Amino acid sequence: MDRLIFLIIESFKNFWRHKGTAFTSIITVCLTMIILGMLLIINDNSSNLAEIFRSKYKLEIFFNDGITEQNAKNIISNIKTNPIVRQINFINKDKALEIYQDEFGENAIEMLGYNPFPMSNVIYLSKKNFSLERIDRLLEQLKNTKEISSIYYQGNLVSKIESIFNIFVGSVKVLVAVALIISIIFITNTVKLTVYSRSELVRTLKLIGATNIFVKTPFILEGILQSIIGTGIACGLLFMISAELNGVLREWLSLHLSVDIFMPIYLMVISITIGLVSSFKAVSKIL
Amino acid sequence: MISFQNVSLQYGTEAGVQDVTFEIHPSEFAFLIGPTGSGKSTVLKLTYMDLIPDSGVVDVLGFSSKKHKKRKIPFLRRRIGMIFQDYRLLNDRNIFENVALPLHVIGYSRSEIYDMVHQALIDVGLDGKEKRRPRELSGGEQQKACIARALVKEPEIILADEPSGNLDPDSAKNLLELLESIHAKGTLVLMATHQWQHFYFELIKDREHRIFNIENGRLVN
Repeated sequence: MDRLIFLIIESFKNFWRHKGTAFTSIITVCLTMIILGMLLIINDNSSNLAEIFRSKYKLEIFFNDGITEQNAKNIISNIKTNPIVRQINFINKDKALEIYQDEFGENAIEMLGYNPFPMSNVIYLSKKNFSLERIDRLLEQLKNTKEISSIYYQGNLVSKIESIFNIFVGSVKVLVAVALIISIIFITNTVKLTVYSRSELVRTLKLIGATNIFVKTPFILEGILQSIIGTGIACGLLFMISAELNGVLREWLSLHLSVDIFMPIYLMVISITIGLVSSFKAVSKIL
Repeated sequence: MISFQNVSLQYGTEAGVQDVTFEIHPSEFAFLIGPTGSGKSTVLKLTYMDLIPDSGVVDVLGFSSKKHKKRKIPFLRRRIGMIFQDYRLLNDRNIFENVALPLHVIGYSRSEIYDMVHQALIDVGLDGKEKRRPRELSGGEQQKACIARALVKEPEIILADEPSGNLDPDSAKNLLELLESIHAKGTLVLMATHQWQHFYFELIKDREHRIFNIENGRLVN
């Protein structure tokens, strides 16, 4: 028990004795965790970004003149069963006339003697069930409905936006993996330097009869302590940065960056694991 | 007791030792003398099992280089106090912490450590300097701190590797007296030195100390 207490106190004392190297390690952990954390936040929020674009995707269909309103509503009920459809706004002939009048200030019936506007639908697409294949299937279904005279859909633009978005999501995932590898390399090398700079201590401890576990424990505890402090600071900064960014993004894109409440735990686990493994390996090497 | 039976070891570019056989009994004070590179340090390293012989057997306090496993070596070293020419004191902690380190390794309580370290510092004449850092002390004082660290755990054996290598003749004389006082309490002392004629011959010529002369890795008469 006395030995354990000594080792715990020793790791805190070593932390203080070697403030310079401890500070360097904390800064390294902090910076790498900020980069990793930012990428994780972007990765988590990429679906929100997609939803912003997808909420704007819509289809407009126009019915043939000859069909009744009831007939059109039956077709709408049928379309509604498609999972890609989120909402349908039905515009009957009177409503279409009203819209025209509101926008252009002219009464089409007075001008032409009849209401020229067809019944139409604005179909809003589901953000969650979105896929280009599903849209294609819906378009096919609409084209095969003889009561529908025309379909208005900006297909090329949607495909382009979707492909750019997919590249973006893929790139973020690759960057997360690269950042993780860089974190491992940076933290491992910093821990190695810390341990090697104290090889004299290791040698002396061995000569006075310290077991391997006695020599390793303070280094491992120190590595964990540095990881906790570095990651703690990184998480604090990440929350501050995301709060600041939210102010800007809300104004520009109506986008809200959400930060996963488990993110600090993920980052903590990652950095502690790296710190623990690297300090264990570095001390083992000079034992 | 230290026992070497036909011990040979060749390593790196150093001389190593060849077919070395000797025994040092408990409560003996022995000198291991010879020129630089003759194999003195190798003998000491073999004694505290920093090196394991290629052939032959080293037996120290019942710990045999042939029979015992490597992970048991720390437990042997806890029974041996080591004194080095370069002191091997840790500059990132004060003298008290340096001397206390072997006791923490063994697992003594804080109050026991406090008492034992203070006694060791009194014994070597460093009382009142426990808060100093090693680099704030003279060479002789650093060597005393090194001795205090070796004797604080009340070892059965003291191994001194060129302990006066960095000391002036007066400090070397004090060091020898200190080691003799430790030996008088029943501790086996083995001291390796190449400054035999220069420092110690006159001092111990009238006393009973065994002297092992080593040249080119072999014990000679």
